[in-house]
Amino acid sequence: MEQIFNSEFYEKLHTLRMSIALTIASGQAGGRKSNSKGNSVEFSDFREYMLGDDIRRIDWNAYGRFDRLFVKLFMEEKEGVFQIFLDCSESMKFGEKSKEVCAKRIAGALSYIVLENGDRLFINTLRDDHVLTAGSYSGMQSFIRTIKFIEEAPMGGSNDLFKSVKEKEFKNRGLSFLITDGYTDDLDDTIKYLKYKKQDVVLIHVLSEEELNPRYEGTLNLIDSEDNGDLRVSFNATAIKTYKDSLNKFLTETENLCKKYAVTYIRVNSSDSCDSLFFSSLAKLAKKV
Amino acid sequence: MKFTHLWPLAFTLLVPVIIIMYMMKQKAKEQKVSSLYLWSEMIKNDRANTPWEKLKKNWLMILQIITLLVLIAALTSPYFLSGLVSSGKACVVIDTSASMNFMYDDNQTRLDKAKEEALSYVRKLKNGTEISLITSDKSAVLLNGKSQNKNEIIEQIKNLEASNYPGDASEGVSMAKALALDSKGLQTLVITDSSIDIENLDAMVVDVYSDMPNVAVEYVSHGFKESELDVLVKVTNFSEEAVKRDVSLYQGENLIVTKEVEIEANSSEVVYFEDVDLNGSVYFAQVSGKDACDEDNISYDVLSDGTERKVLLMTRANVYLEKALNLIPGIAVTKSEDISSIEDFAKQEFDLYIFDSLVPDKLPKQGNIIMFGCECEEITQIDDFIADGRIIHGLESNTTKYLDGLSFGVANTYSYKVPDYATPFLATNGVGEEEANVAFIGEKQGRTFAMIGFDLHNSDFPLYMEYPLLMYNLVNECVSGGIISNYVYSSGEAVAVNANIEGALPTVVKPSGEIAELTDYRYNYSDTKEYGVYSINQVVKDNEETSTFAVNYPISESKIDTHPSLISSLNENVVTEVKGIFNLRNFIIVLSLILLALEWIFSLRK
Repeated sequence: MEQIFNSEFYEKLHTLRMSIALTIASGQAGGRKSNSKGNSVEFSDFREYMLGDDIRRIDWNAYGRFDRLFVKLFMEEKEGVFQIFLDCSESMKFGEKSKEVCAKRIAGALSYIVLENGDRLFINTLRDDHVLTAGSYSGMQSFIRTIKFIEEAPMGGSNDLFKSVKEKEFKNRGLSFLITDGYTDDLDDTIKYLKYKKQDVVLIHVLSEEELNPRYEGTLNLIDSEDNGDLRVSFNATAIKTYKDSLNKFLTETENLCKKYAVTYIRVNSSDSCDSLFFSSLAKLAKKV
Repeated sequence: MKFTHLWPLAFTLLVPVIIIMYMMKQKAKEQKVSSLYLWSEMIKNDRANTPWEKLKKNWLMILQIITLLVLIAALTSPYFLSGLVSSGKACVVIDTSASMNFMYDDNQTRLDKAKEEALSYVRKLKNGTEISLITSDKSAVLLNGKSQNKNEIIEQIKNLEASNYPGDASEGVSMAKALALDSKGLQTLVITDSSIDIENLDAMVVDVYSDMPNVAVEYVSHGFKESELDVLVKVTNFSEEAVKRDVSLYQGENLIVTKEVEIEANSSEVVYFEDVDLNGSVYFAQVSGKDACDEDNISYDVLSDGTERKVLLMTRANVYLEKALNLIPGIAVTKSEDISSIEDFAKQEFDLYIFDSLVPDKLPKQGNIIMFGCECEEITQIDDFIADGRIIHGLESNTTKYLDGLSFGVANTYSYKVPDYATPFLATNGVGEEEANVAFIGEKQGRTFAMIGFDLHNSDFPLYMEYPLLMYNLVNECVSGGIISNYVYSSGEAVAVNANIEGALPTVVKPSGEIAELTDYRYNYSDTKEYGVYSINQVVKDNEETSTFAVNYPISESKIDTHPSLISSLNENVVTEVKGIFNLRNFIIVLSLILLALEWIFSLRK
């Protein structure tokens, strides 16, 4: 198998300096500025004193000048909590340029960004209807472990996306990256569940070139990589057109679903180069968020 | 559109085979895909489609099926009926002369080819067409007139055989012309190997002549040289190349002698056999080797039986008599004007003396005598000399047997007193109502005497058809001649049989052994279709008399060199096979080639 985190990956990673302005509402105190006002050294605003306010925060200088009581408001600095959900089903191994490599590289790159910002990171692999969570990681010193976990995460078997995500316990609000090929009827439920758990969701939809532009001919017995179901198809122009219609419908429905639940949607072709991956897909992510 | 053959339609059974093979061919390879999630639509289609619907857009298979059907169609040789016989009246004239037995190619004779073309033509005629079928050789035979039953005509054509007779299609064409007078718009197909004139006839000629190598025995002749038999055989090579052949003489199955001869192209060689030792009177010459026609490789000859009767004709000039005598078989006529030398002639002991207006001083002491326009006291006395023109009529006698109503005119004639031993056979009205006998015949002391009172020059008798018959009877009563006059004939020639009226009706035994009884004593026997040796038998007074004759291949048929295409090469009505029928086979073959090319392109693109 192709080495996932090769030297090229690391080179690209170092040049990736994206500041992802993610809004965080809760979590441990950390390096990320929260919209909520709290106890911090960084001044944010003034407001008139109200009963129950900590009298230590009254700005006496202001009182001297305006003869009214004002309290200082400070920006509460909080740690962002990031979840990466990596679909590890058998179907992710598909493709000449396999979706697995692509998905793991994306997961690795996101881990780097998150850890570099001093946020907290959880890696969740979804396999055999279960979730396996690794973490929590914080700080760049944990990046190597993160990478190792991602690289060694086994792929195979079938997986019910919704069932496995439901096993995950969320303690805080946060941001969840869902990296999958989306071949499930439960994607809707999965996103709804994440939203219910107060997660901002980014759906990274990984598809292979073979899935986007199939080039089959003759009569083939198609075998499902996960459940070994089979389908006999005579390939001709009509069959290919039928498939493409299905694909377009599937992609459109997925995009509409994401729009509906304010989910950031990024589609990735597993055969795209690293450059394209880092400076197009992930940069696009940065702009959107 | 019609089809020449229907059997190729059986190949349509291959169509389901192709479809089954395509269905079998659809055995799928396994292909792993990430998920069948997106192929669910295909499942719906897959369920909706029957196996047949799955195949419906398989262009390669459809092209192959079309190609198969087109090839089957080509095998059936479909054709459109053109306006060839637009009038609905057709006539087929087939030459069945002996030359049609020549080989057309290595496998079939010209007649086979002619039948093939005729069948092809008839089959392609519209149903309901009035078809007449005529065969033609030395004469034409209307086998079927205006028949609308094609199957009947087809059967008749299939059963046709060459007649062995010489001839061509001209008699048939004449008959077709006669039919055309009655049937307006009659369109005729003439199938022949000889040139033919179809002027004033709406006709198409199919030329079945083919130039195959052939060597023939043209004739065999014999002569006696001091009782030794010498035989002469003329062999002709009708080929374009010189050949070396054996020429043999056979008697029955016994080979008598053989000589090798080399014959240049298109030339003849005469082969002599000297001092041939024969036991019987019939033999044949045969040239070896197989060629276009085997029948003309054999030629029979019959040695005469030597019973020729000698006749002395004393006359100044009488063509009528000479001609009549020449027709009588079995007699050798010697003619002389010199009546004074009758005594010298008499020493040769002629069987019959005929005096035509010449009377010797003394009659010969032996032999039979016939006198024309003479006065001869030695035989009888004159009753009268009738100088004014009279009508002569026949009286009932052996001499006038079968000559009922005989009547002719004479300018002048003697009338005789009929001797006791004689019978009158011609008379005229004399003075008053009494009949005057102008001719009689009778036997006296073993000799037959006949007197006819008028000179033939003073009579119109020779202009009547009864004249040669009466002459024959007259001479025959005086000398007993052979039954036949010639011994060698060509097929189709009539054999003049002159049997003794004293005996039973003669019978003819054909080479095949078949026996035919003749219906008269004088008979033109024309059923000489078979080649070989015939015999004529007649029982006369408890004695069976037999004459033998041979019938040979009509050599004129071997010499055909003016076939229709040669004479009328620019005439569009002369063809070598039936045309005018739009045969689709070639077009269909071209179409199938185009389909194959399309299939190839399709398969390449796929």
